[in-house]
Amino acid sequence: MWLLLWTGTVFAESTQFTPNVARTLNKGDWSIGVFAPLRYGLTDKIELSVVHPGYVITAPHLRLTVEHNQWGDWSVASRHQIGYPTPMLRQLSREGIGGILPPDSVIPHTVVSKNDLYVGSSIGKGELTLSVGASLALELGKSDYSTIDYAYAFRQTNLYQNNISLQLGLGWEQFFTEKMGLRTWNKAFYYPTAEEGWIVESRDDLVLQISERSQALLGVNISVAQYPWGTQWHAFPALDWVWKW
Amino acid sequence: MILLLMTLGCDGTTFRANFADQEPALLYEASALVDSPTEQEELLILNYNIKYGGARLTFFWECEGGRYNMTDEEVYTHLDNLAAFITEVDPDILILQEVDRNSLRSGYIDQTQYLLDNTPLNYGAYASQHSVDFLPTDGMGHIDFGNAILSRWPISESTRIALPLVDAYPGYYRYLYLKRHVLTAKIELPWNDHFYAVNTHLEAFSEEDAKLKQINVFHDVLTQLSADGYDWIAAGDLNSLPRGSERLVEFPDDCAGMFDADDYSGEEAWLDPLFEDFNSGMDLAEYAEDNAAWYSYTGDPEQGWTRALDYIFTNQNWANDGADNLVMQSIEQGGYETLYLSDHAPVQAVLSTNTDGGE
Repeated sequence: MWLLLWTGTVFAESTQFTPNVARTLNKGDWSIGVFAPLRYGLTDKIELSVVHPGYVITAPHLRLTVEHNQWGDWSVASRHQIGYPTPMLRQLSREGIGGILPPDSVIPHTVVSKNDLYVGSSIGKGELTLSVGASLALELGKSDYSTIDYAYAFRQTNLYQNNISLQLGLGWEQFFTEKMGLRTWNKAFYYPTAEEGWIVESRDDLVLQISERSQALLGVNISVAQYPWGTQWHAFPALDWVWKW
Repeated sequence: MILLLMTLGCDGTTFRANFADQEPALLYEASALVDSPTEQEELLILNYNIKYGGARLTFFWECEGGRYNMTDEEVYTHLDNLAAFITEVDPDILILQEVDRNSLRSGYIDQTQYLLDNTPLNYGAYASQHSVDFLPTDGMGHIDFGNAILSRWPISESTRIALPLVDAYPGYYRYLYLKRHVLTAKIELPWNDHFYAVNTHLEAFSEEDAKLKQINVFHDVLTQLSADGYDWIAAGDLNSLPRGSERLVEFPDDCAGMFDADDYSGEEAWLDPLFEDFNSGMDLAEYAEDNAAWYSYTGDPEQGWTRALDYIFTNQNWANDGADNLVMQSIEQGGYETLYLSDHAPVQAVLSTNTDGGE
């Protein structure tokens, strides 16, 4: 990796690799990572994406990101997602190892809409991004299943069962050399109708620009949440390789 | 990624399923304290596996069981029934196995605190034997269940002593599986400042010699307490049958075709050191005469109690030479119908507080 890093010859527009910014991919461009979203620039101002191709199979969804007119020095974009997580939840409800939800769970058809407004600006040598949004979930029919009380999954099931969440995001990305930078993306979720009211997540990466078309990420995912039994944190290393073409 | 973290031992950031060899237990206090006697001639000890408030619901791991998580109403009803029973018996020290603490399956209720708040007992100590942030099996999710000691008098210190794990299980399974322990609690009796209560719940299945190793550690802990000059009572669900048992296999509550039947053959002598070195609440000669009177477990209430698994020992003397010690099986034996409160029956023993002449 280090050899690739130091012998690379091209410095790409780094934010084109960054999923959570107030910009979209250029028209016709694609981007995907081992774990990062699959994205496609439909036009220079409209991007289609899914959280991950593997995820979309079990939890069908589609995200539309629209880049709006500049607001002074700030770029502005909005992201809108519609999803149907029911098949995934039903697959997770099973006996034995891998049974994330009990087999006797009653999981209704659930439709989820997530909407966020992003604003971003270059400040000094870095790129600042702020976001604000709301997510809505609608359960159709009887619902009787537990939330998945673990990092990242709890954020989803807490929304499905409590119908609404509000979210704030804060990101910063800065390259210190042509090929090396840092990126942080932090998000806070508030559930006004739930007993367990808040979650904070942080993703912090060392970014290595491998070439014009690929980027490697090495970092950490941290989640702190209020669970039904109390507040708990989890931390996981984050590794990814993202391509753009 | 999570499997990788488990392999690398990053337990503290992922599932938090491990324990130290020795660590402090959690201490509790009732929300409202009840005045306690400053002297007594006897201590009433109750040893009870309460099946995490599941009463006679049949869970997925039981014969023909289909239940996974209880409703809050079920948990509170079962705990209220247990609290009413405990209040009526009014023990001085209550030793509990299979107590849930904020587990998904029992509505995230802290059962030690609930029983303290709804019985005349004031203080508690709890140690987990199965704590996993998220158990990805059969939808069990967040689980924390273990053993507790409840007392009228303050508990000044309490320790969780880890017992040997089951080596026969593969690493990933052992990581997420139960981790047995011995729980010790120093109880500040107003008339005795060197008194311990000890609790354990041993391996249910004799994979290789894991249960024997655990019995030996339990014995070592008690021997050390005696050597250090402490008076103690020790109780638990030992998941073992004593010498003199007429039946070691083919129990009436076996679940044919679904699970391996319990078989205690070859384990007849495993409890001998405990019975030989300490005073048992159950006299082995009486047991040999009438096994059934000491039965404290059944998986099928229609079959009645089928085997003795729960015991109390001391290095002191039983009041009335142990004549008041019994398994509270029914109205006829113990004065209460306990068959539907749990899959175990409570075991009662009455300790003389005259400390002269102990072991």
